[in-house]
Amino acid sequence: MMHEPYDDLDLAIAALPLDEPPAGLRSAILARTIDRSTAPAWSWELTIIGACLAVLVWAALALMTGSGAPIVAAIDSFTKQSVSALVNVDTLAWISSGMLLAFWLTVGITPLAPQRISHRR
Amino acid sequence: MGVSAVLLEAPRIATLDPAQLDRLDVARTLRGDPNGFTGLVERYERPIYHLTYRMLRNADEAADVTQECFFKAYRALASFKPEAKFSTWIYAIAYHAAIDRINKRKRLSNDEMPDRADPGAGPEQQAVLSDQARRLRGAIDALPEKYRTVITLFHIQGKRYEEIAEVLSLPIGTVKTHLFRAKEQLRILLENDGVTP
Repeated sequence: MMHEPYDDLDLAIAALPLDEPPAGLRSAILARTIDRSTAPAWSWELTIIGACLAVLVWAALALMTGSGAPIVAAIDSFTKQSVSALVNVDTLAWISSGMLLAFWLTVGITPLAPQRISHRR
Repeated sequence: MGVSAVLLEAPRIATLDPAQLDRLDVARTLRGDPNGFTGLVERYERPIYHLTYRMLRNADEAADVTQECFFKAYRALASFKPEAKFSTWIYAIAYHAAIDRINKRKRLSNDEMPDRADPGAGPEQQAVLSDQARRLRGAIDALPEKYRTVITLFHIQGKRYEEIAEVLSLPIGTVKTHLFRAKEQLRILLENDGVTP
């Protein structure tokens, strides 16, 4: 495309320097983008991990001090119920059909690579 | 990327034009290399801040919008078309983010929100500008927003009509008209101020 010849006004504007961004802007941008994605865990994840650790410590202390009989009984009952449910034919049939459906949905329907979506300008 | 790979790639990178360098950095970012995005931020932080500052005339808001622009670009990078020009894409994001900010200002009444325009650049920056340049910058700031943006993109950023049209989502003819009128108004403002560029 042809451009009009530059005049004095064009040259004067072109000679203006770009504004200097405030100090710390770059680090703020990087902190919100690449640095954020490498964070070890989000706050809610840390809360869940902390809660699980607290329960484990409490259970271990209860077992060590001899007051853990109810905990042992609860774990034992839960294990027995789970095993009896898993050896049930109906339960196994439902689990198998669920897994087959999930496999079909992920491999059979969705494409292998995500499609590129053009950005709206 | 290892040190040896960087050393091997360095001579090739030195010969790349800005658009190729952008493409390379986009690809590196998508591969999970943080240096790719850092490169893009290093190249575009200043022009994007300049554009948003000229549009908004407020340093805090311009910094805010610049951050927002890079955040949006980072999140949408996977959808960026490799054959497109990264500079046009990111200027468009910045332009629309600044327009959103201007519209937000308009929605608030003048009573709630005072004129947000800064008195001007900081003292250090003012000191380096000559008197003529300072008046010219003042005259550009006095233009309506649409003319200010076109002048900023065309002259200061060295953009071509086609790119400006793409960034602003306007026909090329409208861009040319805006530019012509902007320069006309600028000349009048400068003549009234006793400046002849």
